[in-house]
Amino acid sequence: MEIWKIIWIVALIVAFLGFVFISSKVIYRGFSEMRDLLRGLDK
Amino acid sequence: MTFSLLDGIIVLLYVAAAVWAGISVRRRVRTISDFLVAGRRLRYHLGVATLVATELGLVTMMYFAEQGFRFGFAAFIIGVIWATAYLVIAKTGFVVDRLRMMEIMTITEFFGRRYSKGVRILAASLLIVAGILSLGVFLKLGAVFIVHFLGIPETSIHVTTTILLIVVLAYTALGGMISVVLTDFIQFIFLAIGMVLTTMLVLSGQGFVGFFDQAMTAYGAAGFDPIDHPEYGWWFIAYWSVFAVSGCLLWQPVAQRILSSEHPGINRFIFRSTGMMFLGRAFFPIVWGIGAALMFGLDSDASAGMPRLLAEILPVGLLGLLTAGMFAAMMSTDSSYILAWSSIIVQDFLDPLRKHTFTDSQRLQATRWSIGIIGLLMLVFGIWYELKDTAFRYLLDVTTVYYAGGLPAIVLGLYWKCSTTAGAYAAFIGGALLPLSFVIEDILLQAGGSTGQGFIATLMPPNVRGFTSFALGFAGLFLGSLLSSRTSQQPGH
Repeated sequence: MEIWKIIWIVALIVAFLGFVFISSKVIYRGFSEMRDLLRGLDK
Repeated sequence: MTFSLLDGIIVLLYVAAAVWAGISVRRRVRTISDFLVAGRRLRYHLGVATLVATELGLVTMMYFAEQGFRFGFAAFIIGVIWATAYLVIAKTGFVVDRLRMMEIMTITEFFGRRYSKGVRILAASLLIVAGILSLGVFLKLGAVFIVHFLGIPETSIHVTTTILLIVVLAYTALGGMISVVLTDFIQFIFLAIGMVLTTMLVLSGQGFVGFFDQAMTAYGAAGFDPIDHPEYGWWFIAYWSVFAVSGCLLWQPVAQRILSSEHPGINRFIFRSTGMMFLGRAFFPIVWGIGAALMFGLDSDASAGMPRLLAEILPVGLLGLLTAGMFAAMMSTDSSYILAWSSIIVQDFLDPLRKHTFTDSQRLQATRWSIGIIGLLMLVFGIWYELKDTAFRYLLDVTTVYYAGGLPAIVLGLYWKCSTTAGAYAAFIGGALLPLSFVIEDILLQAGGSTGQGFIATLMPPNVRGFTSFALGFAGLFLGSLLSSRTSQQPGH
């Protein structure tokens, strides 16, 4: 069915962009949070 | 493409960095709360990284790829429902907000507080059965991947997986949750980059739309329509929906992150971001599986398809990066799961059975011993057990053993004042009845050398069996609670 093909094409694009966006944000901010976590445990 | 020196260096550097990072935090672990829930200091982005890394194991990629290989784009429905479950919980804070506020360390601890010690032990026993049986196939699928991806002889596969397992056990036993969070973060970076690049490469072969056209030719319309597909359909959608919600609320590795967060608001953020990432977590490996089916033919080995495809198309450097990513996926999931089940064994099974509760150092020691025993069980079961259906189907069955009673017990325990201990017992027993009988029968048949289907397997289709188990769990809780509360209101009780 053509409709399912279109749905999955759109879904894959959304998933791809969402994955790239969130993972870059997580990598960027995760470093400072990791540092804070280790400092907090040292106190 | 063969594995080059550069690829080997990338993999070695990664494994060395992860192990060093994991072991170096050992001195920071002072209390059992540091060990099991990282001192409850997990914040927004680190929470997402550790949850995604844990739930994005090599086993996940293998079973999703297998689904894609065999059933085409219709398998996308799995990711859509899973992501929706996370997003709904993120929006509403359903269950997770209340759980975090209770300051507990395991979900089964909730059953002890809300119902009774006996319910806690029963829930913990079912969770341990579900957890260890599912862990058994992790090593097996990891081994299949390594054999076909790196092209190493099958004879050395058990040695390779055993070495990896020992590495994982070492840093998990020493550093606990802090090690797991730290290594998860490193693994998240490798995984995210590796998965995005690989998906682009797989799709670029025939062009984005061309890939879909080719799949339409190979699979036909059923390969796109999850409603019409014999593997899925409405029964699957109903079963998988309740299963996915249970996975968000009850699965100890997920719960451990909910309970490790600084405050409930962080959980909602983690669930929202993870929900979005879980679309990719399912879609990307499914696309790889479809790519493998298009390259090698639908009648070739489905579980070996994805690693064979990746070994074929990845260039030097990316091959090493993805191998490191896959090892990362395997190690992060295995370590988190081993930690999760060992904490359940000690906190919710051994401790409630003892006359005097464990001291903090005894608890830490017992958890480390449990980690070793679980590792051994994984190895034995992983080498011996043969899957009859897809890995995804097997994991659904073994996990339903705990989920089918756990979901009604946690939801109604938090939101329905009338739920009672008798109701919780009925929910767990009723929910586990069908899936546990199925799994035990299957193991016994296999131990007896038979490869045929057992009585429970022929009783009803798998999706109907799964959904019925949840229905039995809910019915058990309602009926058990209503009957027991009526009995206790009668004079003389």
